[in-house]
Order: sequence, then C-alpha cells, then structure tokens
Amino acid sequence: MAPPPPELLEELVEEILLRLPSDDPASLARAALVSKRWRRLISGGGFIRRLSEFHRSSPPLLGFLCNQFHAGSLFVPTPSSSFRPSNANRHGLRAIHACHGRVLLHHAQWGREGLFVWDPIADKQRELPMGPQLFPTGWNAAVLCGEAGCDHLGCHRGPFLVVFVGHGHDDNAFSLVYSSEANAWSKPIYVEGQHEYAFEMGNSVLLGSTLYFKASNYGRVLKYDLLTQKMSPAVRLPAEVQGTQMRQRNNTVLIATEDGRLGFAFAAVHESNRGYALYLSSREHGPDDDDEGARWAQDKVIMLDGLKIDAGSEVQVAGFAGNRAGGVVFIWTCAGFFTVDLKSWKSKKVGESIGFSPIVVPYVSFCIPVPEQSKTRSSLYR
Amino acid sequence: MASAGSGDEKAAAAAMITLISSDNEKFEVTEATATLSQTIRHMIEDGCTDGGVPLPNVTSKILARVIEYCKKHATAAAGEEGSSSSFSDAAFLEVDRAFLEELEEFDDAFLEVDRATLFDLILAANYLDIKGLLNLTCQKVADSVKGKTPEQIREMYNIVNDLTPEEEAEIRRETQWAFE
Repeated sequence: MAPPPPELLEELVEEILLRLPSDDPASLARAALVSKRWRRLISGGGFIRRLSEFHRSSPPLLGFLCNQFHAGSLFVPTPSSSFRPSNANRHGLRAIHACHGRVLLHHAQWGREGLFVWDPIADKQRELPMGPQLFPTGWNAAVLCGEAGCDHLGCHRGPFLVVFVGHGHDDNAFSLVYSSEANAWSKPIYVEGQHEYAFEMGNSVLLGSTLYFKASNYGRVLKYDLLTQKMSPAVRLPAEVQGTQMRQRNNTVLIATEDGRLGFAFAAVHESNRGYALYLSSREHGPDDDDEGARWAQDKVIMLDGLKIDAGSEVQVAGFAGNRAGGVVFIWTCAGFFTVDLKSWKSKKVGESIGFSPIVVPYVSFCIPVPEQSKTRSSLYR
Repeated sequence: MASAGSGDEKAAAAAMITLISSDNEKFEVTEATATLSQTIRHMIEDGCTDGGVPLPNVTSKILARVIEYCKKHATAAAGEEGSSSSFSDAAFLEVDRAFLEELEEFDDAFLEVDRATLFDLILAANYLDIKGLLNLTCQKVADSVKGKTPEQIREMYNIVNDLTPEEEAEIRRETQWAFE
C-alpha cells in the first residue's frame, strides 16, 4: 500500500482547483463538498478573480439562450459545459443579450412590455422599472457590468447597467441607460441631427467602453460610449451585407476580433458553389469616427462543410461569443444550432433548432457554483 | 546529440551547483539545470551557493526526481536556443515540434507516480518555485479530481470530511444540478 499523501498547503489546493476545466463548474461544486477547507477556498470572494486571472480573463462558453416562437426562451448548455441553471426555461421572456454573467430578457404579453435581468448562476431575476420612451417600434438593448473601472474579473454579482437604444415616432434615434444602483432610467439622449435608424433586437458587441449596435436597414453600425453616455454613428457595413432583405440582414452578426477590433461574420453560398461559407471581416485601423471611409478587410473564409447542410436549405448566422482567447460564431440550420470556432475552424452541433428563432444569445461566464459564505470576507477582495 | 553534449561540458566547466537534500545527500547539477528553480536562481544571484545549497524541505528521493525534471527541461530549452540560430525556419519548427513531443512524452512518464510522491513533488515545486513542474503536477491532480464524487476525492487524497451535515445539505441544495 502506498503511504497516504501528505496534506497540501491551502494555496496549493487552490492551484489544483484553478486547473479544473473552466466550463465544468459541476466539478467545482463537488469539490466544495470535500471538506470545510475546500469549500472555503471555492466560496471565498477571491477565488473567481484568481480563476479569471488563471484563464487570462477568457471566460468559457457555458451555454446559449434560444428563443422559442411565442413561448419564451430556453438556456441550452453547450456539450462540454456541465453548468445547468436551476430553471432553464424563461417562460414568456425573450432573450435579448447577455454579458458579464447576466442575461437581458424582454417580456411582451397581454399588451404589457417589460425588461428583466437574470443571473442564471445565482438564479436571481430582477424586473426593471418602466422608463420614458421604452419600447418604440424599433429598439435594441444590452446588459453590462455597472462598476466604474471594473476589470470584469468576477463582477457578475455587482451593479449593472442596461443600455437601451431606439428610434421614436419622430424617427429620431435615442439612447437611455438603466442603473441597478439607482434602480432608475436616465433621460433619453438623442443623436444629433435627423437620423432614421431601424434597430433590431439582439446582436451587439462591446469593445472597451464602446458598445456597437447594428441598425440594419442602411448597413449602419452605431456606437454607444459608456463613458459619455452618447450614441453616434460609427461605421457602415460593406454593400454586400447591407441589403434590405431580411435573409441578408439576418446573415450578418457583429463580432470582436481577438485584438479588440470590430468585425462581422456573414454566411453565404461560396463562389465555388461547393456550399455555404462563413466570411469574417474586420475593420482596418483608422480614424474611429470616419464612418463613411471605414475599410473592412476580409480575414477568413471558413467553409461550412462540417455542418452537412442539404442543398437548398437555409443557413443563418445566429450569434457570436468571444473572449481574448478567440471566439465562436453560432450558425442556425434546419438540422440544428452549430458553433464554428474561429481559431480551429472546427464546427460542432450544440443544440436542436426546431421551434426556435434563428437568433441566439450566447452565455459566456466564469461560474462559481457555491455562493460566497459571508459578505465580510468578500469585501476584503473588493 | 553531439551539440547538446558539448553544451553540457561547457556549462560544467563554467558552473556546477551542489544541492543538499534534507537527508544530507549531495547532488551536483549544472547551473542551467538548477536555475529552473527561481528559489535557487535568487540564491545564485545573491552569491550564497558556495558550499552547497541546503534544501531542508526536500528529501533525496524527491530531489532526485525534481533534478531529473529540471535536467530534461533545461536541455530542451538549451536545444531550442541552439537550433534557432542554425536552422532555417521550417527546420526550426520541425525541431521545435520534435522537442515538444519528446518533452510531452517525458512529462507523461514523469507523472506516473503514486499520489504521495505526486503531492511531495507539488510541495517541492512550490518551495523551489519551479513554475513548469508546479503546473504539471497540479494539473495532474486536477485531472484526477474532475468528474469524481466528493467521497471519491476524499478517499483518493486522504481528506477528512469536517463539514457538518447541515453545511453539506446547504451546498447540495444550492448546486443540485451538479449531482444529477
């Protein structure tokens, strides 16, 4: 019989726990039941921060939200993820956006509209108060961490913001922002000049402190600056993806490149006629406000052979999830939802698509399944 | 490999370090091998290695294994440096790949030890501050913990369950999904 292993220093147990796969929080939950010490290490406020640092601030893709037609939304874990929210079904709520561990949901039934923010890990949901101008004909919204100067290494239990952009009956585009700390909306701020923008729910991309939204009818991308709280036109997508047809529009999502530039992914039949391909372009460095002169460079063309798409069937780009280590684009086909890894080009089926709208909201977050034990301990790490 | 051999001889002529284990066994190693340990690197920089470096926390059995690891990884590092100047890029990549594969095989074989030895290696890697070895050994333990029940983990690593039934019930209640 081999002698029993010697006891490890606390910091070394932590070194081991940090090396569990980041998309396997179930292993962490089981490890928390080993002993008081292991539980304390995992539920201590500093663990999520060290976990983020260990994984170089690249949180894993734990799952995605699909919107069922007229029924609500469903959290679907990705095949490698062991995370399961306590209540995966969000009845009567449509998923709009997810960021920094939270999901923004929209409720529209019986002539009443509302916004909710859900934390799937803590299984807490908050209804936002109604604000001025909410829910015009076209709008989009995003949920973000609300802590000033936050490095987003484990902030998902802190304050948050919801940025709402829309265009009113007078066709003027405006933005307003909700703060969870004040539990109130700001006054709407209008974009200077007359602008007709058609916002659509879904896809937006955060780069630094700037949030980019698609205003699809003119291939226009708008940016919202979190620091100045102002929205302004940013760039135009190239002509081939700014079509007014619904099919073309839905086939483009904004993405963030690994080095923090704005890009877009677009699916179309490849010129060789060998089937569908995913086209990835990014914005070339240049003056940020020069929207008309923005130059796009095509970075990659990924053939979607792995998806085994039947001839004549439809393919749509359904979403984007990225971090500093790379990213994946979600693809909708009749045969299911797929992810295409932008680094390895590998595709993987991640869920069924029957009964779901072809737009998904990816959920990317570190997950500490065991809640913090005491507030006094966590405050030491703030 | 002739080039690696001559490199070793050069290093041997330049500097040898004596490491002394807790049970007083002496190990002669090259500076290149020894300085994979940040702890020893600092001692060398401070000029306090004359007469040998006593390592009261590491037994001869574990120190021999640690040295085996450092020798292999120091050789690999030296080989990479040497090859980068004398090969074309393609050849360099080829050599690089071969080195990495060989190193991976070495690491896998190196980790074929009982759990007590593995923990001793973690403690030694931590004390000597050898990043690569610490990462390798901690990852091995993490891989063995993945997918196991709390009972299995406790049994594997001889850990006493000191959680009260109430505490256990609370964690299980909040993370029910992890046990289904």
